[in-house]
Amino acid sequence: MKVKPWTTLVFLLPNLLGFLAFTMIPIGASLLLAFFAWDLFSEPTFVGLRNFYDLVGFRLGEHGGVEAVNPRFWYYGYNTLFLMLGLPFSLLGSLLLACLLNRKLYGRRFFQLIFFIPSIVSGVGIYLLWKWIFQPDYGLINQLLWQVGIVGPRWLESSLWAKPALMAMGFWGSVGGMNMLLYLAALQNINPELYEAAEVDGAKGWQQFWNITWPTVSPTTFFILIMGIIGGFQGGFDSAYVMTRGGPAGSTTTLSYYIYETGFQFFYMGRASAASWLLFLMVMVFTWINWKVAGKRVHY
Amino acid sequence: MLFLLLLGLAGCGREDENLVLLTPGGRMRPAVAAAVAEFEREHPGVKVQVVTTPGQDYYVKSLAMLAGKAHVDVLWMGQGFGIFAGRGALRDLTPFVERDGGFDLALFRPEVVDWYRLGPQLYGIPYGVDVMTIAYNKEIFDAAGVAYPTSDWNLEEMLEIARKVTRIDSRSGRVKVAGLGMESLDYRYHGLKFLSDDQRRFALNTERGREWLERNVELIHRERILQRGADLQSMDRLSGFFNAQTAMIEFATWDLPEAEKRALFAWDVVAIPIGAGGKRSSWASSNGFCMARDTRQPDLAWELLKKVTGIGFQRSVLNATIPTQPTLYPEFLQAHPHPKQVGELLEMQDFMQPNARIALFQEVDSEWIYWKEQALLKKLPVAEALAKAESHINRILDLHYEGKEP
Repeated sequence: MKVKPWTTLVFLLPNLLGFLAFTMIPIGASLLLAFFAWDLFSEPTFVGLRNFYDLVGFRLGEHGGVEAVNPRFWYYGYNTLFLMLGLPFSLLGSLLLACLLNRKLYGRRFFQLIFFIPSIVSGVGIYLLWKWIFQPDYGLINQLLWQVGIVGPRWLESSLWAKPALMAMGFWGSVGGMNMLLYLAALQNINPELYEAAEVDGAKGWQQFWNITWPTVSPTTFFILIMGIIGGFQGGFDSAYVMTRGGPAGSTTTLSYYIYETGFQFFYMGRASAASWLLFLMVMVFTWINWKVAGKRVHY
Repeated sequence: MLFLLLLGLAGCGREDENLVLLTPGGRMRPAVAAAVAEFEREHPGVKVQVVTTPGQDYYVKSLAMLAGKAHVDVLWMGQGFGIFAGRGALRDLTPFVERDGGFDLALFRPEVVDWYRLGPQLYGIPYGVDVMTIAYNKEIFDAAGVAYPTSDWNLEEMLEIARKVTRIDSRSGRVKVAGLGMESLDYRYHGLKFLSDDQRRFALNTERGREWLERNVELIHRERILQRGADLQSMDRLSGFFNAQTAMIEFATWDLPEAEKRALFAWDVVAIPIGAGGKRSSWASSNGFCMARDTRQPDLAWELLKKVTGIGFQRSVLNATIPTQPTLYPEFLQAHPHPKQVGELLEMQDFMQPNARIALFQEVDSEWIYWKEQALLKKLPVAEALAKAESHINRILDLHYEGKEP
């Protein structure tokens, strides 16, 4: 049966209208806004590229030398990248956990559930829980350290330890979550005959993992890596908002938190839009590099 | 069909007879509920919708609502006044005050009323004042054999006491009791100002400003008598004091109910010490209500505003703020049998130095906190941090005053 083009369009129209109204038009508006100064109250003023200059530009300092116009933006970019260093650990942890839970062990369904729980619990609840765990005077970690004679750091109050603390929390939350399930699904799709053949050839556990498991799950690894990098660039807002308000000294402020702060606390809507587009460019460039570099190592 | 039905339903509301009141909730919630109930009884047919946004998000959400032309008539306002008034989000109350024969602005403490002025316009009516004092744990003082402070003490004496009561565990090197529990020693104690009088220049990058910041670094890192709060924005900052880990803390009016409930030891308050140049100065803020610029029913909103700032309302919030009508001071003192020296809070009203009332205060303050923390955490030398703060804050102010940013 031949479907008339109009019929197709009518069926697609509700979705298309929603997409235009709630996605495309706001995206277009934010691109436009990136070239304006606007605080929601007064009329928007065209400022050309100044919002971008205010974020990533350089100028002659009052006391000589060249300085960044907005060193905080660069620092928050660094924070965002630093927090993403946890990604390879969580990726490997998920794979390890999936390998363990893929074995025919007693109670593995129970452990699958237990490890998945952090992914279904409310994020705010988890952040509050970890805020107490990191509490320097009464928190669980420092109390345990104190039992063995170590004076723990003041975790979230220390500009040195706040980021590693958030990374540790992120690891706990992500290692047993969706990534583990994806790996579990990938592992269950590996043909057992491959392992049997390897055993006949005398391959041991590590050799089997390196030559069969790792290449076979590489599409999953690639997918997790891409999504992790995209999520990493966009991340850090909720934990900063609930646990640290971006402090101390901005050490847990990420680009997404900075965008929120610029837009909804300082009401620089144009600059916040410009920062969002810069973030988008960063995500695009890193994803492209990832695609070019890691994509070649994927075995489909 | 459904669209038409929804459109019809949307038109059914009698919104014109409703008022929307924004508050941050908290301890004022029962007082607001009672005032609103009384207002509704006096104005049959008028309903007041109270929208509560607790904590720090209050200003952000309220400003976003006003910017989005949401229905707002009356809103609570504290030290964020400049952010709203500077953007033209509030309505001038002068005509209402002049027209209303039953309202006497002279009954309110004048300098606090002035905090709600921008130019000749009056944008709010205050019902409460928040001041700072120093609260101290008498038992820690007794254990160290140190006399209790009196209101004529000065900054050096406070630091000397802090040194005497600080106890460091010799085995672990951990501070068991810190003399001072505060975010940092306020620049006001050193007789300094954050912005110039015309509010166009950062004013702390001076010789005395450097001395003040360097002294803070010393107190935190070398002497270790100043313990910074765990969470400066919440009640957690009081935890160290309630757990007898800090001997003295900066204590605000709103801390009274919590301290009266939680402190299991003998404690009291004393005025902020006399600072550099023999002057006493301390941060202060206020609680009041303003009218939204775009209110649809200004006359009704004015009536509601009077209700939530009047003497009856002030009486119902005596537990956590100083009333702005001095006739209520005896009742305020009576409401707080503990601490004994609660009168010191009233005395501190003579030394109040509130935050600058500028539209971009939040951004300027955030920039300052960033650079100050760089120095306090020893990530940058003090002189460099102050120079950077000056450079960046002045640029923000320049862009604003030159009209390049709204």
